[in-house]
Amino acid sequence: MADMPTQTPLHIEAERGADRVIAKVRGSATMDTCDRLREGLSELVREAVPLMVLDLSELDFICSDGLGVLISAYHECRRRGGQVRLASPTPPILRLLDITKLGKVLPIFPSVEAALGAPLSRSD
Amino acid sequence: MARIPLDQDPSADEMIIPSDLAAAKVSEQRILGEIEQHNYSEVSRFAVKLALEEAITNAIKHGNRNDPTKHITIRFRVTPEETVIWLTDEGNGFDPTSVPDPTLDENLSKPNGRGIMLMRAYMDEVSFGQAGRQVRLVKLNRG
Repeated sequence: MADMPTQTPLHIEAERGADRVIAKVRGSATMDTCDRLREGLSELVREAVPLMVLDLSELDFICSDGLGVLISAYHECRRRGGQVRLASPTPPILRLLDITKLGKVLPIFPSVEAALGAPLSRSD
Repeated sequence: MARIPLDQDPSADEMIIPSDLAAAKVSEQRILGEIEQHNYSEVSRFAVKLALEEAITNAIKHGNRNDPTKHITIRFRVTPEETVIWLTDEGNGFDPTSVPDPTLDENLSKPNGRGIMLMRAYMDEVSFGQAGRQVRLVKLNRG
């Protein structure tokens, strides 16, 4: 039998500021790790900061359930008056976001700095 | 030479798994392991993994409705040229043409409904049989 390929565990690391939180999402968001992603982001959304930036530079995989978690976080964040931005997705994740056209809902920035620096707007 | 249909091909492997994510994950890893052995590109491996994740999730959640007494049959053949996977659930089936386009503006902010679209975007062939209970996925190895 072939060797089993390894899957990177999902991990969220948060860096908090007064008016923003940067959540670095590492690893693979798959059918068996999306619950962890949902719980992690829900916890951060409950802090109700004006801006949540999801740093996707070390996210190597995400399934449609995982995309759904990002969208749910966006809705919940907006409901609390905040905004969600995606930053520095890797090429495969960026392709996924392009194919699904999710950039129309979740603004995508090339870096965390760019996501933090863009003015907050009602359309985000 | 005519191709042998996968369901009649003795060289194809078959796994029958319960409707649970842990068992599904083991099956997925087994197929991905074979793909790795045949030197498919990273892009192709990502594509097959994504399509498998979507197909298995659909089978468990929408097909078998998380019923632990129902099973999923996964039949697959991985060769240096192509990977073909047939995945069959024990649900009531569905009409794949009735699934709304998730890229339309009115559907973009919905958290679900992207699975079939992603399978079609990433695989070379996606077809449904048995009134929607079965999906066939094909990925060519372009190196």
